[in-house]
Amino acid sequence: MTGKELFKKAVFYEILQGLGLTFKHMLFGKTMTEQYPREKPSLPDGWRGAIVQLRYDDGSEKCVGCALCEAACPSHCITVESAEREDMPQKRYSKRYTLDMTRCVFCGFCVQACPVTALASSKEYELATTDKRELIMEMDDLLKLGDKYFPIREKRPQYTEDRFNFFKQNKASGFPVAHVPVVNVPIAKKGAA
Amino acid sequence: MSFASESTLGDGPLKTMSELVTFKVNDIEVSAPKGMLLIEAVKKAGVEIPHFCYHPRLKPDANCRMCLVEIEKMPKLQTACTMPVAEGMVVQTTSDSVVASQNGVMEYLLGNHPLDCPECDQGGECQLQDFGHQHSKLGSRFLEQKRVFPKEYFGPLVEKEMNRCVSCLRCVRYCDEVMGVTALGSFDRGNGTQIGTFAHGELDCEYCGGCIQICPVGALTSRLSMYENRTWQLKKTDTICNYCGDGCSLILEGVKDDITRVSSETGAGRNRGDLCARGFFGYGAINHKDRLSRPRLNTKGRTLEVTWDWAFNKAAEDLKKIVAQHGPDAVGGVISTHCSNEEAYLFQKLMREVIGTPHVDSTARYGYINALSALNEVFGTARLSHYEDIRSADVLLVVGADMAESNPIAGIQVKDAVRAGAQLITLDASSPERDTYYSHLPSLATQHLNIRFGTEQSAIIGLVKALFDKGIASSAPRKLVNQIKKKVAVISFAEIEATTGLTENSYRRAAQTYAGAEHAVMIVGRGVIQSEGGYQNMLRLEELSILAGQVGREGAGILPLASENNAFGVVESGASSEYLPGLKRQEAKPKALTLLEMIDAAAEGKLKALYLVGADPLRNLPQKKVADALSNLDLLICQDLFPTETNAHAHILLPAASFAEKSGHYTNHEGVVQKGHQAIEPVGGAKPDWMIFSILSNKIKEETTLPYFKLVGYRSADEVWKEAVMAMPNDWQQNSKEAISRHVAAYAEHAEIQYALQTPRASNGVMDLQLGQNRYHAGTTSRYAEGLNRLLDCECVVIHPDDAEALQLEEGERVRLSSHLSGASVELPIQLSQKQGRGALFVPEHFGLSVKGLLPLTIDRESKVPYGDRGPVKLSKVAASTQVKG
Repeated sequence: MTGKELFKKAVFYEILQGLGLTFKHMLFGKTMTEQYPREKPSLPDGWRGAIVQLRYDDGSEKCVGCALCEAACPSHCITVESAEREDMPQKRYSKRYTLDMTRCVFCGFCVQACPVTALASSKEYELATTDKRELIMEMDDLLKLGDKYFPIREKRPQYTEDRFNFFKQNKASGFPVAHVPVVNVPIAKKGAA
Repeated sequence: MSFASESTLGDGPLKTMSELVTFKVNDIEVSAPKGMLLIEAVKKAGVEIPHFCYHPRLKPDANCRMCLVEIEKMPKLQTACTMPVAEGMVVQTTSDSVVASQNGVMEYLLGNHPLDCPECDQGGECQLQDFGHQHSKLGSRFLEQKRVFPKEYFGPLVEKEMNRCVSCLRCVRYCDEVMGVTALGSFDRGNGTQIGTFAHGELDCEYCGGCIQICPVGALTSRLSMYENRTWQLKKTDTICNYCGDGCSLILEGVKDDITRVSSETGAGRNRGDLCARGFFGYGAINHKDRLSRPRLNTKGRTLEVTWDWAFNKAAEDLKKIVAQHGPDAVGGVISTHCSNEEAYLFQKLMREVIGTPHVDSTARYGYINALSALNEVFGTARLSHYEDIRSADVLLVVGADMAESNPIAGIQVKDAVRAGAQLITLDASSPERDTYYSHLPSLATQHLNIRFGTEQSAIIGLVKALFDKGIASSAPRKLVNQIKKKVAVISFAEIEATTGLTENSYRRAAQTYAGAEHAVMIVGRGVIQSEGGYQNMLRLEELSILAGQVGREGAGILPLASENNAFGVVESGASSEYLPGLKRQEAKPKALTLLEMIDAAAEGKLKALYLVGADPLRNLPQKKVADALSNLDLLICQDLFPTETNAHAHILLPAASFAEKSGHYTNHEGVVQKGHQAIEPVGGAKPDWMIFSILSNKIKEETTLPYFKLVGYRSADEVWKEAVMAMPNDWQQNSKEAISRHVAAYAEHAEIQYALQTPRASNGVMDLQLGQNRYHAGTTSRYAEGLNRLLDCECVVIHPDDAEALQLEEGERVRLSSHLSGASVELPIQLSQKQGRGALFVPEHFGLSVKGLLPLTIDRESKVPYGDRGPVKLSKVAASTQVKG
């Protein structure tokens, strides 16, 4: 053992070296700590925060209630009850859409599964609450969050537009019925659907 | 190619074909019956050939070109759906040329498909999805716009989305080949091929739902459960349909405790996967909001909703009190024929053993008991023929049955037989014309014996008389033949013609065809078994089949049609005043009362307590008399699904579970016992009937204060079934040839045969009214099914267009029916139907009570069946001022 090595052992050189780096950052470095409640971090794109629902440019919800998100969800936190819109025959929508955020693992599978990109991962991460029930989110809550994080909305596709116009046109006159004089029509309620 | 055109589900030559051929598919050696279609045969090698237009229930059409396969030594690709397998065939289903053609077909089909799978109800069970994933390349070379059809309203229950259609024409072929309805057709050509009804009208058909089920894509879907669930969310349960006696297998599908869809498995069950409107759209009654949910007590003018424990204690206490005061004979019980075999068994045990009264009956007393006891009397069994016999028979004799309305699935078996070349003889008062898009068996018949209304009894005599010239089968007992010969000799054909309106010749032809058949099946409907003289007429028909030698051997027999799903089973399980379990005649002392006698005894004050399980005598018997009798009772316990007119009088009302909420065995009219499984938990606070009987029996028997659930004697319906089977005689399902001929010989010894002609009735301006089943409804429960209500939701009078013209009536116009007997009258709208016999009216029995009041009630002397479905009424136009716009 040389004298130099002996000296390093005696004064705990490695510790001093480490402390030196610490003090260098403490005295001369830039502050890294984020003062969280006062300062908000800037999150990268593709951040998987709370799942939200999106709208088309005309304000209608994109969701068609296909329940593929429900099928894709690994933690079974999505429940979809779909139905036919009463004012628009043949239009599927989710009568009730519940996302239990307490069970969500933010994997984003639902976002991938959605065929109409009605779902998105937002940058919402402040989900702490004193009432857990607030985290069981219904369609309205999810849309509100979506409006907050995705202000730019997609245009409604032409195909859907055509169908909507078709039903709007025929709404006044009831559902289109091809009237043919058929004998022996049973007396039945065959009114508009 | 004759085998190729046989559907594999049919009982064509394939079934008897035992010759096997060996062929190779993808280098796997497989053997299959000769003549089997390649598309079916390769399944044995675990190979599936993609297809759209092929369906085992239909004849091959080969229009979709998806099933092309390569066969060695054949110059081009061949369609597997039309190719019968042959010895030494070498088939490739995955070679380059096959894959290229499959990719091409898929690209072509997807060129126009909107790919709206997320919205489409078929998504998840769509053949286009499945085969598309397996057999198409990504991307399409089509740059053109997809075709878009204008939307059309397609009736209240079927949704048509033509953009999704792949033009496989399965729906059109099903409607044509299976249902024989031909409501659907295809029009336009090429890219614009469409499915639809004539001239783009809305769908107006039997609504069997077959087109919805058979559509490989989502072009035809059910509007009733539209967008409610995705297919993978649904829990599926096999069960047996609860509506008519056909005994169809159903699959109830639903989420949690809500049934949202019904389907069936191709080829499965007695129905081979076919359903009718009631089966397919009639599930709405299960989860209906009007279902009874809590037990109710009516005491001193107050109605209390109580707990089950309270209701059981009260019922047991009151029953015991009445037994102590008036003896056990003061109690009577009637069970509905919609209950399972287990429940009927347990009910008769509760009445006979626990309470000790012989007065047990079932609603089979409204008619079906005629058929059962007459068959049992002569043949010792009621299991004489099956649907297989109908399909393979060469002559079918349908007496007094409108099968397309009352038993549509049994009707399909007849249609299949006719298509396979069987001769159909129908005997009823309906006209042989049919309405467009509705099947009607007389229109398919080779001989339609169009008798006058209500003269079945005389027509049967005509058939028997005509048979004697043809020569009697050697198997018929001589004593019986001689006796009948003597009886019919005194009746002349001229008299018969005067009554029935049919000439001697038509009887002779029919009798000759029937007796000359190799295998003939006689199907007997409501027109005989539920009409005046039902028991005797049933015996006469049985004698007819004995004389013709068309019973008691393979492939020939008699099938009485039941309008309730378990009429056979309930009686066989012992819930009948004359039978113990297994159709053993009982000698009870005092004599067991039938339903009608119980009502009489209640009116007289002899019967103090009545237990009605799903029975609604107020609807079926004269109302005033029944209402008086019910109010005379000290205790009326009713057990039902829905509030009815009868159970409004109940002192204790117990909510029962429907067929979807319990498991149990049901016997259809062929005598086939099938098990239905529990699909959902009982709705509301209802309990299965067997559980109610079990708990009540314990309550009555044991003096205890323990809570009721500790006392349940039977833990499951299966346990009851085991005991019920043990209670049956050993040979309860036996129908051997020897046993039948032994019984026939015994019957011939003691038979007292009566042949009486009916007196012809002068018409003098009255029309004949028949109450009966409509094809969209069964009993009264179906009124709660929303789907069926969309098809028919009100009472109407069906009348032949000629009669309507003579009376200057138009479709939908209101008429007044009045009875000159009781003076009562009813106002109803009319409906025109070609198949209605002239001078006869028909009213569906499912709705109002008032029509029943117009008709006279007669009671069968032997079987005590009340007949109140037929009678003369006067029809008059309602004055225009009182006309209500319907």
